[in-house]
Amino acid sequence: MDAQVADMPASLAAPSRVPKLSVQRIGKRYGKLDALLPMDLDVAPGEFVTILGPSGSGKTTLLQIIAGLTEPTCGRLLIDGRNETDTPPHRRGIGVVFQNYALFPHLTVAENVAFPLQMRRMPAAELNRKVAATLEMVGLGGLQHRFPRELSGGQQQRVALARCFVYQPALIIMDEPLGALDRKLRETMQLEIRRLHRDTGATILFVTHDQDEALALSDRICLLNQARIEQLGTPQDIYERPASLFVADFIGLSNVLRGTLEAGGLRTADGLLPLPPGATPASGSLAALVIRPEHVELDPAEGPALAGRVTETVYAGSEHRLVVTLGSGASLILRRTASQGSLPLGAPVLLGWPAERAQLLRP
Amino acid sequence: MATEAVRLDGVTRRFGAMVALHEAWLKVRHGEFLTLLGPSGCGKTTLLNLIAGFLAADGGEIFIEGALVTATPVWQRDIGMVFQNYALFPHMDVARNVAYGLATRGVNKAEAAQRVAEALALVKLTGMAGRRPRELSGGQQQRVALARALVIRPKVLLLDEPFSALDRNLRGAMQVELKEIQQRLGITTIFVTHDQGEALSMSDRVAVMSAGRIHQVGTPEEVYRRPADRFVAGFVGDVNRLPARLLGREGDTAQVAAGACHFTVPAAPLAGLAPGAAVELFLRPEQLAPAPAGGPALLEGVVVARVYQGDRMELHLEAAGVPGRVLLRLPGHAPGVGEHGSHLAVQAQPQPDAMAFPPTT
Amino acid sequence: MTLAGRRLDPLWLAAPGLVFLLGFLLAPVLQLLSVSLEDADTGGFSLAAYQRAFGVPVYVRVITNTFVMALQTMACCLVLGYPLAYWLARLPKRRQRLVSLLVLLPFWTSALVKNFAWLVLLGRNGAVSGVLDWLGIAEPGSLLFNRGAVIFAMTHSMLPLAVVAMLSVMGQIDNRLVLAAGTLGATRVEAFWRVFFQLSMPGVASAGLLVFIGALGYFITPALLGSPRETMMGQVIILQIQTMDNWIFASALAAMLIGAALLSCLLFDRLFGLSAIAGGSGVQRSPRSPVRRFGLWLLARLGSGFSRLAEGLARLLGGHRFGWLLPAYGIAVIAVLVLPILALFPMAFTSSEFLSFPPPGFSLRWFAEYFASPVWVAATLRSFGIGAATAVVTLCIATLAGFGLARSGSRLTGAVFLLFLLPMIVPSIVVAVALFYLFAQLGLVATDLGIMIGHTVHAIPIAFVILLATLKGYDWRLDQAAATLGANRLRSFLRVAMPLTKGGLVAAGIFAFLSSFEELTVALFIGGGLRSTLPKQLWDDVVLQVSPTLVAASVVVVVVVTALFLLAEALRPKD
Repeated sequence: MDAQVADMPASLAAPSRVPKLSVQRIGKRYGKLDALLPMDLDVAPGEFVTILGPSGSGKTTLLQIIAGLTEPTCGRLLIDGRNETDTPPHRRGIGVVFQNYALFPHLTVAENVAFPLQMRRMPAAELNRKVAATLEMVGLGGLQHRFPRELSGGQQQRVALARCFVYQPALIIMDEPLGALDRKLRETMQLEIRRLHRDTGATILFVTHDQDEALALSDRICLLNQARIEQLGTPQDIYERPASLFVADFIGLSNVLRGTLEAGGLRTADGLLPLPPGATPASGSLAALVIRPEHVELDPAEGPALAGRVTETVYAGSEHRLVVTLGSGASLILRRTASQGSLPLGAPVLLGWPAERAQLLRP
Repeated sequence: MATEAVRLDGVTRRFGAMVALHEAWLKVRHGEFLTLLGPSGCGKTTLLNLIAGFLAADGGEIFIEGALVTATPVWQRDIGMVFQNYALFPHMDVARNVAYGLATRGVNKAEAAQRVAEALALVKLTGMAGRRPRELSGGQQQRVALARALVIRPKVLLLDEPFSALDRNLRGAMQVELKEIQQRLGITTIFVTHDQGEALSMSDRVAVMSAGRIHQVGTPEEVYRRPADRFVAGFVGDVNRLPARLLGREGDTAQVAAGACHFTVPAAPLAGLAPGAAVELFLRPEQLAPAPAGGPALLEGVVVARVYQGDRMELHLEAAGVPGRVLLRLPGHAPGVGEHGSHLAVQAQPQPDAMAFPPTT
Repeated sequence: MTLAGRRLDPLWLAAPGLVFLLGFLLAPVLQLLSVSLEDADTGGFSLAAYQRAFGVPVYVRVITNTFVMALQTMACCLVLGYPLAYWLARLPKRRQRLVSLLVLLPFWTSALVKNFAWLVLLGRNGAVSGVLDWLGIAEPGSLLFNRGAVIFAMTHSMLPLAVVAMLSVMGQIDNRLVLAAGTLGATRVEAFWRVFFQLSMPGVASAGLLVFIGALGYFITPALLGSPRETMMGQVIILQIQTMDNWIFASALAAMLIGAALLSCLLFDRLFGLSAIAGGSGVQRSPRSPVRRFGLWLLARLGSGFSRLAEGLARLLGGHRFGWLLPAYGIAVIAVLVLPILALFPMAFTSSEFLSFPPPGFSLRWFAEYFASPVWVAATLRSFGIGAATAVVTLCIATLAGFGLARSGSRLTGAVFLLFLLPMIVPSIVVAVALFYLFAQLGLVATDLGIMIGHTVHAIPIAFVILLATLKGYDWRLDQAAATLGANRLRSFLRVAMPLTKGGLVAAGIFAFLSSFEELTVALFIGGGLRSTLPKQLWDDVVLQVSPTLVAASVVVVVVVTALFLLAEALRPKD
C-alpha cells in the first residue's frame, strides 16, 4: 500500500485523506473461470486512474463490479470509506459512460441529459438551466432537440459525457468511451475529457485497451493481464520502468535481449551486455534486457557496441524506424528523426545504448 | 504489351445524385504496392470495388494488364482480394477455402493440393489446413484470406482495410509480413486504408483521396514532405497552420515570414499571390521546438495540454493570432519544459520541410 | 449486359412473387369489393348490401359484436401477454430459446385443434369442468356457449402471436439502457417505465394490430364455443355463401373487414410506422409533438408512482420480496397455453365410447378407427400432398424475393416488402372468399391446385419473414469473395450462399408446410365438399358431433406439427 501512495502525484498523496474508492480483495469467478483474481486498488479523490489491459484481462468485470452492475464473488468495495459492496447502482452516486454510449433512443439530447436530474427530483427551472449549461460545456448548444440517431459518433459521445457530468457525480467510470471513434476525433475527445476532469475535479476511472490513450490521460495506470494487476503506477513509471516483459511489450515498442546472468553482465548470443546500474542479480539465472527503440544509438560513444545490418526500414513521416539484425539473428528496432534520415538496406551498423536506459527483467 | 498492371482512364461512379468517384485517372505499375488513402466516404472503396468489378462504372475505362475489363464480370478478371472481415467461407476448412479459386478454374487435384500447400507455407499456416475459420484467431484468418487470394496467381492483389479488425500489436506484425510476401512475389498490390501510418510505412506510392477525387499520387516521402494541397498536408500526419506573409518568389521557391522567422517553401501553390499577401504556413509538429531564451521566436503561446506518449511528450499551445492549437512533439517526457499553463516560445528546427498555401476565405 | 451499363437491380427476383400476389390476392380482393357494390338484379351499381348490413338489427348486432369481441381479445392478449414477453425477454439466451419453444408450439398448433381441445375440456364431462365443479366454483356445463368462453378461447389462440410480436421488439432493446438508467439514479421500477416500457411500445402496438385483425375474421371459436349471441361476421359470410348463395351481401361484409383492417393499419402506420411490424425502426415523432410529450409525462408519473410503491413496500417488508411473482406468472400462463394440447393425448387413448376425463382405460381403438376410415386417410394424405406442394412453391417464390430484396438498393424495396407481408394483414376469410369467387370463374374450385394456391398466399409472408431474418445474418461479401476467385453467380449461389442459408431455407419450407397443413378457411371454401383436407374433415365432424375419433385425428395433427416444428427450430440459424 505504501508503494502505491508513493506512486501518486505529490498533490494527491496526502495520507490522511480517505480514498474515494477502495477495492479490497475483490474477485469474480464464473463457474471455474477466474474473471478477476482477488485484487486491491485505492483511488484518491480527484485522481484519474486508467484500467488498461488486453481484451479478456478482466478490466470490464472490474468496472462492472465497481458500478454495481455485477456482484463480486469475494471482497469489499468502499466508496468514501463506506461499504457499498451490496448497494444497487442507482444509490451509489457513480456516473457511468458506457462503451457505445447507451443513450436513450426515444429521448432527445436535452431529455437524455435531464434524465439523471429528474431521477433526483430537481425543480424544472434549475433542471433546465443545468441541462443548458452542461450542453454548452460539451459544445452541443443548439442540438438539444435532436434524437441520438441524428447525431454523429463524436456528438453522441459528447451527449454521453454531458449526461454523466450534469449531476456532478464524485466518481465517474468510463468504459472504452472512445473506442468507436476514428483517430483524430479520439485525440480531440481525449483532450476534452482531460479538460472536464480538471474543471470538475471528479474522480475518474477510465477503462481502455489503447495504451496511447492510457499514457495520455492518466495520473496512474492500472495494467491488468490475465485477471490480475500486472503493474500499477504513473504513465512514466510504466513506460520507463516496466515491471515485466508483458508490460514492456504491451506499452510501446521494446527491444528484448535474452541471456544468462553472470558476474559483470548478461551473457547473450551477441556477447556480454552490461547491466543497468544498481542491478544486483543472482548469477546463473535467465534474464532479459529491455531497451526502448528511442534509446538505441548508432555508433555509441560508450557502452557495448553490437554489430548488425539494416534489414528493414519503415517510413512513418515524422520518423524512420530501422530494423537491425544482429549476428545472432536477434533484431533491434531504432528510431531516427526525419532530419537524421534513414539508412540503406544492408548497411553495416554498430549499436549501443546508455546502460542506465536498459531494464533488467525476468524472462 | 501492357505498360501498366492497372490503368484507370477517367473512371466515374455516381450513387443517385452523389458523385462517389469523379473522373479518376491512375496508373499502377507492375509489382508496385499502391495505397489508396483517405477518410471514410472519400471514394477509395468505390475505386477498389470498380477495379474488382463489384460496381459498374458510369463513365471511363478500366484496364488490367492492358486488357479493357470495364464490362468483364468479376469472376473473369483474375484478381485476388482480401476483404475487411476476411470473408472466409465458414462452411469450408482452411484448405478448401484456399483451394476454392483453383476449383473454379478447373485446376487438377494434384496440382491444386500442391499449390494450396505452398500458399499455406507462404503465410506460415502449414498444419492448419483442416481447421474451420471460426477456430482461428483474427491474425490467422487474415493469413488464410491472403493465401486464398494469392494461390490463384492473380494479375493484381486488392486489399480492403485488411488490418482494421486486428489489435495494434498484431497489426504491426501483419503489416511487416504482408510487405515481405508482396516483395517476395513481386505482385502488383492495391491497398485501401484510412490509416496514414499504415499507408506511409507499407507503400511504394500513395494516392491520397478526398470527396471522390485523387488529390496526389506520390511516394510516402513526397506526400508527407511535399503535400500537393492543404487537404493532403492535413490528412497525412498532423500539421500546424500558422499565419504568415509572402515575401517574394525566386524560381521554384518562395520566401515567407512568420513571427521573427523566415522560411523557404515551394512556390507552386502560391502562384498568383503578390509579395506581402497573407499565406498559411504548414509545419509538422516534430519540426517545432522550444526557443532558447532571447532567440528569435516563431510564436509564443500558453501550454494548454501536455500529453505523455512514452517515447515523446506532445504539447498543445494556444497562441495569439493562430487559429486552432499549436502542437509540438518533444522526445522523452521533457521534464520542466512547458508545464501546464506556462508560457512557451517556439522556434522551428533548422531547414524544416515547410509548405505554404493561400489562406482559405 | 451493356457496356459500362448498370446491371439489373436484384429486386427483379421478387417479380414471380409479385405477379403471384397481384393475381391471387390483390386482384381477387378488388373484384370482391366491386361485387359488393352490385345490384342483385341488374348488376349495376348499388349500395343495397351495405344498407342491409346497417339497417337490419340482427346484422348490426353481429357487426358490433365482431368489433367488440376483437377489441376484447386484443386487450386480453396485450395485458396477459406483456408480462410473459417481458419475462422471456430477460431470461438468459439459452433458457429463453427453450422456454420460447413452449410459446411457439401452441403458436403453430392450429386454432381448430386448440378450440376443439377447449370444447372437450370445458364441456360437461371435461377435466376443467370437473375440477371447478369439485371446487364448487362452477356448475358442470356452465362453462361453454357464452361470451366468456369465446373471449377466453380466442385469447388463448392468439396469445402466442401477441407474445412473439412483443418479444421480437423487446429482444432488440439494448439491456445496457436499463443499466444506464440505474447508474443515473433510476430505481428498477422507474427504469422499466421510463425506458424499457416506452421502447417496447412498437411491439405492443404490432401485437395489438395482428391480434385485432386476426380476431376480426374469426369464426371457429364463436361457432364451437359460443352461443348465437356471439355470432361474428365470419360466420355470417360463410352462411351467406354456402347456404344462401348471396355473394353480394357476403362481399359487403368482407369489404367491411378489409376496411377495418386497413384502417387499423393506417392508424398503426401513423403512430409507429409499418416497418415496426417486421422489427424496423418505425417512425420518429417530432420532439415537440403533444402525443409524445403526453406519453413521456404519463410514463414519468407511472414510473415514480410505482417506484414509490415498490420502495415503500420494500421498506415495510425489509427488502424486495416479489421477485418470484414474474416467473411464477410466466410459468402459469405457459402451462395454460400448452395444457389443452397435452390434454388431448390421454383422451385419444380412451377405451370409453364417449369423451371423459380422466379416461376410464387405455385403448387404441380410436386410432384404429381413424386409420381404417378411408375418409380420414384420404384427407390426411391430401393435406400432406397439398402441404408439400405449397412448401415447394412458397419456397421458390420467397427465396427469390428474399435474396432480391436483401441485395437490392432500389427505393422500391419498402413497397415490395409490404406487399409480401400483405397476406398477414388481410383477414384470411376475406382471402378465402375472394379466391373462391375467382376460382369459380377459372374452374379451380374443388381442385387440389386451387387449395394449394390459396395456401401459398398464406404461407408467403411466413416463409418470407424467416428468410429475410436468415439473410440478414448472411455476409454478402462471401459472394464477392467467391466472384474474385472465379465463381460465376450460379456457382457462387450453389456452393456458398445455399449451403450457408440452408437452415433458414429448410425452416421456411417447413413452416410453409405447417401453415398449409393446418389451414382451414381456404380449404373450407375452395375444397368444396369433395376435396377435404384434414382440418376441413375435422371441422365438418366437429360441427356435427364430438367423438373420440376427432381427438385421435387432432393428436395426429399435433404430433406432425410438433415434430416438424422442433425440426425447423433446430435447423434455424441461431442469432
